[in-house]
Amino acid sequence: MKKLTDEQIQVLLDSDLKPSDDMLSASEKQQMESYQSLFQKLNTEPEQGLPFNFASKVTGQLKIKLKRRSDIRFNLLALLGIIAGLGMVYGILTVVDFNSGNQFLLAMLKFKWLLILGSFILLGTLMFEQRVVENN
Amino acid sequence: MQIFFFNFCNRWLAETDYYNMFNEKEVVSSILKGDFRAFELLVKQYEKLVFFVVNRMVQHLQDKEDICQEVFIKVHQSLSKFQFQSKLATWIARIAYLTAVDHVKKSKVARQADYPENIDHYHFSEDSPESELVKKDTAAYVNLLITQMPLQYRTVLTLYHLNEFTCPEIEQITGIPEGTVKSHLFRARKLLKEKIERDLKN
Repeated sequence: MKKLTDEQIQVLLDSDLKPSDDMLSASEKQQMESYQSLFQKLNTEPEQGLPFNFASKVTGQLKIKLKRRSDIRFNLLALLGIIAGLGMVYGILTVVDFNSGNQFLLAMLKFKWLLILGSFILLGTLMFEQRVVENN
Repeated sequence: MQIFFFNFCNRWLAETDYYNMFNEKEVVSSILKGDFRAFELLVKQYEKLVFFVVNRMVQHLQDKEDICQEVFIKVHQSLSKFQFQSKLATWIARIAYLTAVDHVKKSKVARQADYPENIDHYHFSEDSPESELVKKDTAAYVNLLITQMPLQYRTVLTLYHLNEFTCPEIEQITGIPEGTVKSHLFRARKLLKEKIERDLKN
């Protein structure tokens, strides 16, 4: 019988087929045992692992991430709402009285930095509230 | 205290029953509906699988936990795209593998040994300072040798032996052709066996 190669021994062990000792020469038997021992060690799980509460930690992290995403969306919607609101007021005023609409637009442009600052303060307050709720 | 213990036991039993009846489709469907408890159960079901993949590819312990967390966050983000064309375990293992590979590539301590020029010519060095472990002939020694091997060898050994994936599944996970997976597996195991025999002789 032809001598078993390393590859053939590995294939036999992978398929859980082990020829009886009578069919193997001394060196083949020794090779087989070496590979068996190696396979046993390769199948041994590592000693270190993840912490016991890993699943709940990840779930907690996910909840925070999803909440932050939802908060950012809300804040962006709030900002768009402010812009849309101002746009609507301008539109309505323009329809009712063209000059009033223009005056409103000029007033907005005159106080644009105040408007922008006011919007940021509002958004900042929203974000602060969201953080406080998160921490609680 | 008794009420707490009673509730804890009930919850543990309920979760154990759910765990034992882990149904991929039901769990995925629940997660997509926003059920965080189902997500936590999915994490518990697959955290070992993900850890085994990441553990062999990444060096630092804290990085391993962070990467495992990142993997599950990505799983949640991509779950709506999962069409059950493969097993959920295979799909999650692929995300774990790709995330770990990204980390290894970006890491400043990426080693030349991870990506040798010609993997088929890779050999262990003859220096063997791990004599105490060799004498004990422990699994820890084999693990130490595996960490010295190229990334692809480490990956196929882990996915095949620890995660118990088949060669076709390993191809799906890593993109390495099935023939190459088998070849890497045979060569890596042969190298390990010969190295252990030499060290024991010395």
